[in-house]
Amino acid sequence: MQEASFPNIELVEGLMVNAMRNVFSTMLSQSVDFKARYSRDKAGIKPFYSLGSKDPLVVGSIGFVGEANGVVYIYMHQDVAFQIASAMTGMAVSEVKGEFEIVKDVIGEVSNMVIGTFKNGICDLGFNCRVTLPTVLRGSQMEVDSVQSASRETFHFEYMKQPIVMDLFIQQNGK
Amino acid sequence: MPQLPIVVVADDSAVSRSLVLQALAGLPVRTVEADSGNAAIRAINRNKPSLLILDICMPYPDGLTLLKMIRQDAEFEDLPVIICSVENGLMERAEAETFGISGYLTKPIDLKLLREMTVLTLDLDPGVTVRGEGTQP
Repeated sequence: MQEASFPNIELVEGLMVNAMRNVFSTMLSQSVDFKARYSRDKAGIKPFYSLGSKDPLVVGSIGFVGEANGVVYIYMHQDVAFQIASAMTGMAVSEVKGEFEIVKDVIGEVSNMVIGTFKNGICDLGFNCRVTLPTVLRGSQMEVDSVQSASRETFHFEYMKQPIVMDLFIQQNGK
Repeated sequence: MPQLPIVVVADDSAVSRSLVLQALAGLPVRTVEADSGNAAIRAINRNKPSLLILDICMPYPDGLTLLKMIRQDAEFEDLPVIICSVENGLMERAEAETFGISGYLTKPIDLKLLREMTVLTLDLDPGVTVRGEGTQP
């Protein structure tokens, strides 16, 4: 019997970048630029808060389970979350700042769409899986560590000259 | 004045519901929002809608379970349903199609396409628009 092989990381990167671009252009009519990808075993991964200011972070999180298992955390500064919520709802940034329920709902739904689109690409490659419930975290200087048997890839994007970082933990090769 | 057809929009995300309402804006329909499967059941029983726009990943019952329940209910077995979901796996699509749906859109949804699908499903005159049709929870 042949060992099952998971899509290579370049393919996974392509799915992730396409998912981000697709959601940002369709839902926000705005572009997002892919800057770089880092693997866990390479130097370069730093906690998100060290990338910029110490402003509070908003993190959308969603998993996928099935023949591929993983979880993705989408980190952004709070001001970026406000910009996204404003673009998606048509409300002014100053209005959404006082409505974290709206910001939470927007970031949860954007995470759901991005990872759902990414997951659908994984499904199309023959690895059937479903997304889990999205959650949204808010805080400062937070960092998620990798779990056993999961590999970690970090994708750095730029949106309106601000970073958005996607942390992907994924189990592959039948682990 | 003739009664407007009612569209129930069932999605646990308020943002997604508002996008659907945006897609239907101006159409001669009345919209009713539901933020869970059970809220959708209540909205369907109360309003006898002409169309259900349904998410799959929702608090209990989820969209596919709700679709199955609708098809097993003699009163609503023919209710047109358009699925709007982030799920695009072959299994979810095949299951939904088994139960009978009028359309399946993957999020992020194309609002123009959803509007066109609604017009076609409800046999609306695309030239007729109304202002100020409300939505209710």
